[in-house]
Amino acid sequence: MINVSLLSDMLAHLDSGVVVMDEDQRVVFWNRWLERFTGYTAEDVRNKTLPEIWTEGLDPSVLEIVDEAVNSGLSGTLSQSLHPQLLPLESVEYGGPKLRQKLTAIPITAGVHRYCQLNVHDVTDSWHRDLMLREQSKELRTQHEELRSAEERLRSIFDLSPDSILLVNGDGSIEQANSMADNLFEAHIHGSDLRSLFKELVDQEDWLGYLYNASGSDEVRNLELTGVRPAGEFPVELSAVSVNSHASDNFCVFCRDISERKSIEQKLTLLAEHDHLTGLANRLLFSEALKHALKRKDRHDEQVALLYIDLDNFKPVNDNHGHDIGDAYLKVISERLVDVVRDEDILARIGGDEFAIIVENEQILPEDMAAFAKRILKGLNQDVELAGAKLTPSASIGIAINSSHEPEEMIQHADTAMYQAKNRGKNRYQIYSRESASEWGDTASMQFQLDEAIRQQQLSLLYQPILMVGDGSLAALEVFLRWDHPKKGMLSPPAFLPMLINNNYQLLLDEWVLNRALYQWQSWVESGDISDNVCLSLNMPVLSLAGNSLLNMLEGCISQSGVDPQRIIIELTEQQLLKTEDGGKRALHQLERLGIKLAIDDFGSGASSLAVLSQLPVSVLKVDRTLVTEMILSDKGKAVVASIIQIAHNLGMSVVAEGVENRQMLIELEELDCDGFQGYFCSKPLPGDKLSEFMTLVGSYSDMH
Amino acid sequence: MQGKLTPTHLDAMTELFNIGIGRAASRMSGVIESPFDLSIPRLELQSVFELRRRMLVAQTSGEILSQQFLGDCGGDAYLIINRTSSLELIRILLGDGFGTLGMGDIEREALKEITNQLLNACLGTLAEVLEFEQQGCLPRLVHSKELEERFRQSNVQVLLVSMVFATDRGRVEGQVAYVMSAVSMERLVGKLNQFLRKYA
Repeated sequence: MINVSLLSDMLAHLDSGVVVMDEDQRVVFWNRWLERFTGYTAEDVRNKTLPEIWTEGLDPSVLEIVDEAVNSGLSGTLSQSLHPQLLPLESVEYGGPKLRQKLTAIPITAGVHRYCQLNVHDVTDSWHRDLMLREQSKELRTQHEELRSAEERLRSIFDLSPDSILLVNGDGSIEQANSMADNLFEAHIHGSDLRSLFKELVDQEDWLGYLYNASGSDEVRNLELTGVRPAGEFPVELSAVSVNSHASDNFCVFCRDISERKSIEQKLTLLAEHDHLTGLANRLLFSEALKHALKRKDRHDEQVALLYIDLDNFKPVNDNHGHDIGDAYLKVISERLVDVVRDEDILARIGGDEFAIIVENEQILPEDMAAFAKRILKGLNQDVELAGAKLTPSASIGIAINSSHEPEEMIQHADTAMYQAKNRGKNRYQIYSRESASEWGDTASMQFQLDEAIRQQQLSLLYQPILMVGDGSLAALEVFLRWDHPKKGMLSPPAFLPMLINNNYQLLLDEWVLNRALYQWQSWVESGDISDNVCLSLNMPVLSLAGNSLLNMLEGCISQSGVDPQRIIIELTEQQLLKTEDGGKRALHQLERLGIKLAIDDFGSGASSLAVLSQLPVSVLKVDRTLVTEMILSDKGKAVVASIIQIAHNLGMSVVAEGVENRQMLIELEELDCDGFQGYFCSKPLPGDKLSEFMTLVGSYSDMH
Repeated sequence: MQGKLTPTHLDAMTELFNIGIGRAASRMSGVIESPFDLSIPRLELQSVFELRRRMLVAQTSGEILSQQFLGDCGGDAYLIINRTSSLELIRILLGDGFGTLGMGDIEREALKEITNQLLNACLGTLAEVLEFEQQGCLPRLVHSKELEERFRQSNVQVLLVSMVFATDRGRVEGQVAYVMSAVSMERLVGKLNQFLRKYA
C-alpha cells in the first residue's frame, strides 16, 4: 500500500494544481505547483477557505462547484472558455502573465468525511495556441472563400459562356467540357478524344503540333477547322491556350460554330466575286484565280492557258436593240460558253463584252487550245433570236499558253493575240507567240523596237520623184519611211504605225522623218543634184494635227533648217481629211499661213466631196491610182479623171496622178492637162543615195515622153 | 406495478427539474453577463430504440457528451443536440468569434461546463428533494460506438428531457437523455412515490 507521505510527494510533483478541502471548505492539502503559482506555501493556507486566501480575483463559480462536491457529491467542471480567470494565479517565479485555467471539482468520501479535490490545470499555452490557430484558420478560411468564389465565377463563365470550352490534357483526352460544347458536338464529350471531334485532327498523332503548324504562329487563335458531329460536318473556329498547372500540362480549347458566318461570307464572296448579270466569276475573282493558277503552275509544273474572248460587234446590239436585249444577249453568250468549258476551267466575264477562260492541265498543246477555240466559236455562231431580232454572235479569241509567270503580262499577251484576231477579220482565234506579237506588238514594245531601229539605223527614208507632165522636170519628192527589219525585211509604216496612233511617239517619229528629209533636201540642193524649187512631200496623219504639237514641231524644224516652208507639202488622205474635226481644220489653215502646202492623197478612193475640199486650203490633188488605171480602160474612166482635173484647176489646185506605170497613161494625162505624175513608169521610191543617178536620167525624160 | 413511471411521476419530476434548471440558468446568466433562460417543456419515458432514432434525426456528431451518476438512482446522462445547434449554443455563450470554425477545444470545454451544470442542477435537485445518495462524475466525451454497446442492454430505460436555451442572442433546443437500468428506475419510482405520498 502507498503510504500518506509517498502519496503527498506524488501530488506535490504533479504538473497541475491540487487543493483538497474538507466539509467546511478549508484547505487540508495544497501542492507545490500551487505554491509556485500563488506564492503561498501549504503552511500559509492551511485551514483557510478560498475567499480567505484570495479576497479578490476569485470566480464565484469555483465556490459553487466546491460546494456541490462537498454537499451534493457532484463533480463539477469549469472551462477556460467561459471564465477569463478562475483563480488569481500568475507565474510568480517568472513574473509571467496571469494564467488561464481549467478547474474540476471532485467529491471524495473518506469514511464519514467528505472532501473536495480541486484540480487546477494551466491551459494558458493551449488557450493562446488555440486562438492563434483560430486566427490562422480564419485567414485560411477567408482565402479559401476567395478561391471558392473565384472558382465559382470561373465555373459560371465556363457554364454560361456562349462558346464551347474544353479542358484537354496533353494526350488529347477531354477532361472537362461545358454544356455548350456538348450541344455543339451533339454528344456528351467528357472523356472522349479531341481528335475525334475534328476532321483535320483524326489521323494526327501530334494534334497540338498540327494546330500550331496550321496557325503558323506560336499561338493557336481562330483557326478554322471542320467539326464532326452525328448530324454531319460543320465549320468551326478553334483557339487553344496552354493552362499549365503544377500537376499537368492541360489546354483550354475554345470552339465556335461558324456555319452562319461562313454562309454569310460565302454570299458576300459570291456577290463580290461574281458578275450579277451572268453569274460567272467577275474580274476580281478571275484575277485571283489566274494568280493562283500561275502559282500552282510554278510549284507543280502544271500548265496554264488563258483565253481572252471579245464579242464581235456587240456595241450595235446595244445601240440598235436596247440594253435589255443586250443583257439577254450576254446571258445567252455566257450560257453557251458554260456549255463548252470543262467543270475545272474558270470562266469569267471581265468586261462589258469580254470573257476569259483559265485552263489548267498537266500539259497544254497549242493544237488543243486551237480545237477548244474552234469549239467555242462554233458554239457561239449559232443564231440567237431575241424579241424578234435575229443575231449571229461571233467573237475574237486571243490565247496565251504559259507565256508568263505574271498574271498581268499573261492577260496582256492574250489581249494582244485577241486584237490580232480582230484585225485579221474577227470571228477567229489567235494564239499568242513572241514572234506574232512583235509583228504587231504592243505600244510599249513597238516604241522600244523603234528606238532600237533608229539606233541600229534600221530606219531609212525613200524618195519617190514627182515629175511635171509637161516637161518631165522634177517637181517634188514624196518621202516614205521604211524599216529594214533584221528578221522581217523591209516594212512600210502601215505594218507598224497603227500601234503608235494617238501616241506622242508618233510625233517623235514624224520629227525624225522631217529632220532627216530636210537635211537630205538641203544636201541635194547644195550638191546641185536638185533645184531649190523642188518640194518635199510628207505623209502625216491628220489626227495629230488636231493638237498644237505637230504644228509647233513643223514650224520649229523648218525654221531651224532654213528651208523655205513653201517647199513643204503635207499629204493627207481623203479619208483622213473627211474625219478631220473642226480643230484639225483650223490647224490646216494654220499650215497655210505658215506657207506649207496641203496635198490630198489617194483622191477618188473614198467618198470625197469636192465641195468639202473647196472649204480647205488644199494646193495639190493627187488622183488615186485606181482612177488612173480606169482612165486608160474606159471612156467613162477618162471622163472622170478629166472632170477631176478640170474642177481642181477651177478651184486653183494643181493635180498629180498616182500610179503611172506606162507611157500610155502619161500620154492620156498630158492630154487631160494633168500637172504632175508619179509611179513606176518614172521611178519607184529610191534610197537617198540613188537620187543622183536618177537625176541624170531625168534629162532623157523628153525621150521617154 | 411499482416500477412503472406514471404521468404523475413525470409531472412531479418536470417541476423538480425546472427548479434545478432555474438555478443553473441564473448561474449561466452570471457567467455570460446577460439574461439566460432555461426551461423544460417536456419530460418523457422512451425506449432505447426511440432514443437512437432521435439521435439519428438530430444528426449528432460522432462524439457525445456524457456524464455518469452513481448511486441509488444512478445512470448515464447524454446531451443530444445536433451539430448546428451545439455550435449555435457555443456562439450564444462565448460570442460571435466562436463556434464558426467547428468544434475545437475551447468549444468542447464550454459545452462540457454547461452540460455539467445542467445535469448537476437536474439530478442534484432530484437527489436532494427525493433524498437519495448519489455521486456525479465529470462529464466526458463518449464515442457513438460506446453508446451502441450501452444501448444494446435491453433492460435500460430512457428518461428524455427536452430543454430550451434562450438568450437575447438566440434560442437553441436540445435534449438530455438519462439512461437508467431497470433497478435504478424502480428505485426512482419508489422515491417519487414516497415524495408524492408525503406532499400530495
